[in-house]
Amino acid sequence: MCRVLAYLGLPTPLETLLYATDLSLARQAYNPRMMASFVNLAGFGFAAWDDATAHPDEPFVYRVTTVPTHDENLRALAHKLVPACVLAHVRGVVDGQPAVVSQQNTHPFRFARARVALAHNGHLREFARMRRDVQAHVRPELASLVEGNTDSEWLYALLLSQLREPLGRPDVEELAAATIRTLEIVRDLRARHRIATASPANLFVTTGTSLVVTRFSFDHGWYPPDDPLLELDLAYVTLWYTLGGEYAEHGGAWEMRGADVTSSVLVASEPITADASTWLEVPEYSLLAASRDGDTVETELHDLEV
Amino acid sequence: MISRSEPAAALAAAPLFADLSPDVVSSLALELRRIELAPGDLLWRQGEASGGLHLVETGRLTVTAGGPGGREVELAQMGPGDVVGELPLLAGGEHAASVRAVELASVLQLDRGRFRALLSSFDPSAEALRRRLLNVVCERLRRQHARLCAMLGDGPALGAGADFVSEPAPIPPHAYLARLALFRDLGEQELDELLAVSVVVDVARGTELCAEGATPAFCAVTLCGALEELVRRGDRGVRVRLAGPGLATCYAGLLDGLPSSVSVNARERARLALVPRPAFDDLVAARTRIGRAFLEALQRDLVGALRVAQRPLARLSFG
Repeated sequence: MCRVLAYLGLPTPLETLLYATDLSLARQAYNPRMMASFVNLAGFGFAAWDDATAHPDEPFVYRVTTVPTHDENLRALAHKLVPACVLAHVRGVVDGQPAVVSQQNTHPFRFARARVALAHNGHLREFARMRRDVQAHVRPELASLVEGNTDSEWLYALLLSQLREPLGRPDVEELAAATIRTLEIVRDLRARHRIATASPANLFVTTGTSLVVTRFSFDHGWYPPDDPLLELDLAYVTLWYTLGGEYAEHGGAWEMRGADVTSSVLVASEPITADASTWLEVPEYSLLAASRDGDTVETELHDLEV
Repeated sequence: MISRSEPAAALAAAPLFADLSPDVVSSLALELRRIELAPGDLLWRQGEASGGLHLVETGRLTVTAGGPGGREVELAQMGPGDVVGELPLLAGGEHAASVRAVELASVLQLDRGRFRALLSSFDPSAEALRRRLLNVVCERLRRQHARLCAMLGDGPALGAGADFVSEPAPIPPHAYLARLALFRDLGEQELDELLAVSVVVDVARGTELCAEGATPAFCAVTLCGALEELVRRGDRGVRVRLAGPGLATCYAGLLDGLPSSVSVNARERARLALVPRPAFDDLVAARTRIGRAFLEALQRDLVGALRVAQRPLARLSFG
């Protein structure tokens, strides 16, 4: 399991989002508050879009197996970047379970020339049983781009395959529809293979101007016997958001001070501050969609009936 | 009106402490600390650690939850005789809301350790105090649900209230059940005793177990899958709580005798342990280890439900 953060809004120092706060994403790598006995030391990555750079449609992408608290290159980079959209992820894998810790398996995933990036907080139990059928739903030109061996990268390829132009830049409605269709395909394949164990699929999908995040689990509450992830998954995988103006420190508290018009939204597996009073919980079985137009961000919450 | 000069009288007049013997009340009164608050003064801020149980002696307090942009939504107002700050004492964790004086107010604080010692006593009056506390939390939960319903507007409530279809199901292994919140403090024998008075069934996704306004006939403990508590008015609805493995539902009405303030549906296909009302009543009334452990587990579950119910309220206010 992992921790993920997505930001869309006014240009904000990457350092603020990754390091500055008392429960920053970097700290969540080794000390998450809302996960039982689990750490996220199997890789870090981010994609960040900055309007002020060349090719603003393309993100900076950084994926390493280094722990972010001890990555001086990342600290230096985070000090310089002031993006308007960020998708960042710290990866966790289960001690004693087979897992490949490699750059190819770190999130977020973004194929070369693709406009969409994806990070996943969750895991599809028994994925190996349905992998071939998932591949059958992925466009061949995308399947050949899969480098790693995670369920998450295949979800990414499957989601891109649902877009009219897989390497194009969908608007938020198309991105949300593709995300829902991806979950529906996985649901149907699970049914065909009689897979009925809990499989959280909190997906974070963004183009740099549109953001879609799900809080969803297939078959929540059903586990194989002696499951090592039981304690982790007994509670629904968490997802929180806050929104408003610029994300900044006000009198010692990091928050988005009220703006009449929402100009920024921050979504994360768990609040990045110990004081969670300015954060709202995304309901289970729902999808949060956000799109940015200039200094304005529009957000909508939808039920997910998958 | 409670006199400010007599802490013992304030304790004795508070409904929560009505069953305590005069000796216990006098002894507790010696340990109370009075806190004076001017209008706008904070008693505590959301997220702070609990200092103890607080009894409002005079004045009014407002209980608020924060939201994005530094905004706040009022959850409740408290006046003389009301207690505040009991949730972290019952179930751990931090204060889930801020409490501030609306007007000049005086509050009596009972130290956290002293209150915990009182609650864990085997004295009959302590048993009564535990039950009254449960009723206080039930009442708060019902108020939260009523607030949510009011925010959803006019329209009929959800639920047909018909009998539901279920299939007998096998009991999951003890090793699994022992990892669930509601059973964690039960020994193997006590778990067997609880299961012996329960009916274990499977229900399909979408099954309605209890309609809003109905009187539940059982307490439902989720073993696998998930139930959801909903409030709905017309075409607007909100999930108040998802009750996955190890969480219980449908029991508030068994504790306070009132109809259900939510409808309860199976959000996922679910395996449930249903504790029928007579067995539930026997369990919570019994002064046995299993009865007490079950009641304490329900207490934690109820506080969890109340904390979670605050979230859709904040979301509807700010989201």
